[in-house]
Amino acid sequence: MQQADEAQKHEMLAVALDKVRFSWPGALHDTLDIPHFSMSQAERVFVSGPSGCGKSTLLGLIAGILTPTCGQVLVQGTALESLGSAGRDRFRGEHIGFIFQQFNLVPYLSVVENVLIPCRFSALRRKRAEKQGSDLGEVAAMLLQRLDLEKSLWRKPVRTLSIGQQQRVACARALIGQPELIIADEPTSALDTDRRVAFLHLLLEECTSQGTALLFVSHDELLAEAFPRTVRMQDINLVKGEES
Amino acid sequence: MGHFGYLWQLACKSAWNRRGTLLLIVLSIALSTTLLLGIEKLRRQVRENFVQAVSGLDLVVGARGSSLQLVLYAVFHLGRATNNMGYDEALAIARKPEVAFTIPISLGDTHRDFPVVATSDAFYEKFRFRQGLALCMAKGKRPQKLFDVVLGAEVARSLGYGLGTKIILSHGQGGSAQAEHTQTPFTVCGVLAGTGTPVDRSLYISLPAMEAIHLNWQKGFQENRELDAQSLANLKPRAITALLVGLKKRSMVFALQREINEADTEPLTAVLPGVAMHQIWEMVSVGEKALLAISGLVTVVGLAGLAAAILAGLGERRRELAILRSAGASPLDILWLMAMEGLLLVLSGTGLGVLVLYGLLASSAPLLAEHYGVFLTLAAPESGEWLLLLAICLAGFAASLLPAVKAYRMSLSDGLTVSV
Repeated sequence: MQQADEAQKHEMLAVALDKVRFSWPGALHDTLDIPHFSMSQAERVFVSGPSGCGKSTLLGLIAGILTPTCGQVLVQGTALESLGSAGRDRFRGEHIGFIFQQFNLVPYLSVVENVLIPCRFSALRRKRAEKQGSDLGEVAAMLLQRLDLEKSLWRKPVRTLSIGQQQRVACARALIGQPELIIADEPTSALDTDRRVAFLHLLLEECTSQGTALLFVSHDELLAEAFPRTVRMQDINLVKGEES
Repeated sequence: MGHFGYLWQLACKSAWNRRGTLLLIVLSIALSTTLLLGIEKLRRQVRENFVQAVSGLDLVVGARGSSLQLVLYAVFHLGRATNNMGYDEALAIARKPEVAFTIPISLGDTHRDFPVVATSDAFYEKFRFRQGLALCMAKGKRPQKLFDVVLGAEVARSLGYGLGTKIILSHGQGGSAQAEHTQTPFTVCGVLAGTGTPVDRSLYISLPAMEAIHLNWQKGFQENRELDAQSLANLKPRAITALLVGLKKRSMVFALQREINEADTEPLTAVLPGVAMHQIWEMVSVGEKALLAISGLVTVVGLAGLAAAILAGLGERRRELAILRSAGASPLDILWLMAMEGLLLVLSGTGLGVLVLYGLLASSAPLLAEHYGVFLTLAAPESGEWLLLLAICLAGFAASLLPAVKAYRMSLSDGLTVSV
């Protein structure tokens, strides 16, 4: 009965890490030791911490790129370690959107083509996107419009865009097909202060309107005030020191 | 668009994005393909030209001796006969009921190193080459007078002779030509159209003319006296070098061959020309095989360049691959993407190579036919050539799997976090 309650509780969560430890192959010590970490559906969480505190490793575990040495990582109620490698790839494509610090886009594709990449690899995201408009191109256009990207840029190669514009395209790509979770890894660190704030507000607005959970990782603690919840890596990771 | 369709589209766009670098690889594969396919095509066509120097002949008959030597001098007019066969025996073979036609030929003299062939009208009427093509005159007509000569196309072209040119034949062949038949100058009465066979490199006179120029010859030297009219009127060949025989039914060839070879009259050898010519070709085909092997190695180098170029570009593309992974592409998708890129380059390279080859063939075919007697056709690739093309594509695909597997492993280890 208690187990069933636990499972039901986990289903309500976007992400849940339970007694997770991780060490790199050949390393003598763990890189991560997280007794518990979770975030609810549609919750917006700011994760901060200095370089080398295990932020990227945490994201790798939640994305299913890495598997924990022990413990359990649940995303949308699915234990990632129960899926095979291909299953985790599929799951990531269907349920998680990513925004990186920079170099977010495939250079030889146009803006719209970059936005539509997840719909090409995930049937689920394609179906969800198709429900939002008459065709995928229209859905991409709607997202780009909401993210304030000029129409004249949509068919252009992404290398002609400024960093700020590129980050908005990456944001649209992460959001298309309504994934339940967006992982943003230092997405504003290449932007100047004004654009940083503007981008953050656009991202938060879109996540709110789509009901998407947002895990926002940054070492810039000034951004934390825009989030209802802030988590410091040092508080959830029992391992202290440099990330290997 | 299906999943693989999308990967193919990505591969194309990625390749186009790096077209400057990849163009060199495509050119390298194209040149390898042109070389390999060109050599194969040339080899096959030269072989066909060689084997089809005669067509529709069932037997070559000559004095008892080596069958290869017999074909060499009877068909290619190369070397010399160790002995002649009697003309009466040739007539006896011609009278056999299973024989459709015979072409007597008599060799021994030359003009400016080109062999002189004495033959009958049957040569112009019955001789066939390249799958049944008949000889035809480009200029003039067959010998009408005793001292008329018809030139092969190459003889006329290289010596610059035309109708009416007077020529003197030499007694003997090559370096052993001992004297000139100055008393019996010949007049060019016709020039044969080009055939791409040894026919082009010979001069043709009548059998009586061959007898005539050797009247008054004793022990290899010509006596200095005028040819009298009576002698000329009674000219009749006594011996010939070889007899080309066509049968009414090919099924009779082995029986007639045995009959001639085992006859207890004059010792003769009857040879199936096709078999002997294949044997000759096999003897000279070692070089051709070596050439094919070298061009194969050039192709291997081209494909190694393909693998090296994709491998070298992988470092710069790690970020791009990580982005695709973050958007849901599996490592297997990355492997397919890279392999498809390799396949695209190989297909472009081989396609371009085939185009270049056909361009070269179209532009050089008349030149090759005119100067070397090699007739190249612009026909679509044959099964052997398709197999070569398929082999190049498969080898290219296999070569591109090496960087593809590396990209697969890299995308596993890099995950989504590549530091650039």
